[in-house]
Amino acid sequence: MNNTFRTLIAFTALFSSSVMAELAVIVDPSVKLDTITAEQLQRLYLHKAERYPNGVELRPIDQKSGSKRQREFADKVLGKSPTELSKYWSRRMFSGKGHPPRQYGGDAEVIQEVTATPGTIGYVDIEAVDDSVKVLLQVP
Amino acid sequence: MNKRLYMAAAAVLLLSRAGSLFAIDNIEFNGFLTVGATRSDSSIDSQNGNITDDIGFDQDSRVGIQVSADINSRMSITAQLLGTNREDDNFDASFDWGYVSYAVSEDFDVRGGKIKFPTFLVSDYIEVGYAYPWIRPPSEVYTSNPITAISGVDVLFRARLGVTDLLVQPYFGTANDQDALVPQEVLPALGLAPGTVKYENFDAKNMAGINIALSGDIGALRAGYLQTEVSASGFGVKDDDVSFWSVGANLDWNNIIAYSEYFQRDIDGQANAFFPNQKGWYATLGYRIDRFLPHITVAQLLDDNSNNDPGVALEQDSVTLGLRYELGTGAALKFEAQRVEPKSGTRGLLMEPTNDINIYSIAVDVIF
Repeated sequence: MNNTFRTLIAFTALFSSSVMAELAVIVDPSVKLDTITAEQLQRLYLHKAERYPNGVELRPIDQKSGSKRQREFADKVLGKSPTELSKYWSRRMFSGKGHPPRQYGGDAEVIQEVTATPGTIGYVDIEAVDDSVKVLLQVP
Repeated sequence: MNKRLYMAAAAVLLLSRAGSLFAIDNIEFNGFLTVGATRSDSSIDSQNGNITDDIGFDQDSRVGIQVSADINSRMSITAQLLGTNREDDNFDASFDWGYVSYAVSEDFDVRGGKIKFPTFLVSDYIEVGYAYPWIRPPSEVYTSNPITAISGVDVLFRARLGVTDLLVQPYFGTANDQDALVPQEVLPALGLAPGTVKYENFDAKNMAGINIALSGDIGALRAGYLQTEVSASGFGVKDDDVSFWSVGANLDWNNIIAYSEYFQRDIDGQANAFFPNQKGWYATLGYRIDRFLPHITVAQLLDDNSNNDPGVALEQDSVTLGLRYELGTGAALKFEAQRVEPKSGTRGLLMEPTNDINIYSIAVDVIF
């Protein structure tokens, strides 16, 4: 009984953390920016006018489309469903008005790219953050 | 046999895993494809001969590949290859447009080359069926300007205005060797039988225009103006003035989708004898229910005879009922039933005058 209960708690915790993962928006520590707002992030990722926060040129990168992180980021920060996002980019891209951010497969690859090419901004699960990067925003 | 199956499965898996077709360093390939079938209930064909009472695939089917590469942090090149069956029975592929873009600043791009310019709301991605609700944008408006790309330059200037984004896009250039569908009424003078589908070359020079768009989270407003001088040796047309203006809006708010546009076209001189002054509009209303988007479009093409122009009038009304269904992300299935009524005794956009015809269409749009 006790064991079952414990398993249940563990399972619930696991389940809820996998559903409600918190995202961290990260850059290389050398980037001259300490914070970014969700709105600035949205303009940057959607390639809109005046998209560089405080004039700092940043190159946004994405996680693989259809991945759990990407869906979460699109929903919480960009405010778009996967279908809406793909229509948005089909209009922009095929009319020559910008490309969707390049996609990387998973947190480790994003961290690697962010630190290898300063000026790159990405997002990962907050659990994956280490000392090699600077967190600009936490997205609950 | 088994081995081939595995290889096919591996290839599909590989393709489905890649976000775009390839991503080799700085070069990117992206594509779009539409396969569409049409059929009408009348022996009278559409004026381009592509919609008939037999099932046909020529009107809407096409494939496009876009190639883009960053030369450096400010410069990039982009080109689009398009293949269609539209103008004759042979599949024809060519570069629809291609240009070099230079980012002067974050909000200021200059582009040079062959540029697809926006006469209307969806003009600059008109070949990408996935990007809009209809199988084909309302022809009463969208066929009024046969020129879709210029050789020249344009400037994209963007600014943030409150909760909206402003785009100001002036352009200048020429468009040589454009194809204009010869009106049925002109065929006898060229010694051709009625019902012939014939395209004639024409050139447009000193084309200057501007596109202004204001877009926000719930939609966009746009206005555009262009003027040019057209010449067509086949018609004895030399440097006749053409001007064009258009306004439009679209809405995407709480599952309500709406589009509406209006245009006016003025043509002077000898060219006006073949191509009349026209005005036209359409309005589309749709309501998104999960993966379904049922929509209705009313459209009208009218002769604009305010200057007593000699051009042969072409008038028609149409009502289109459509349904778009999302096949996952990046693909859509569409159905449409359209009733076209040529007006004022004219043939409208058909081969010859008639009371009305119904056109049924089905299409699948994919981006990859």
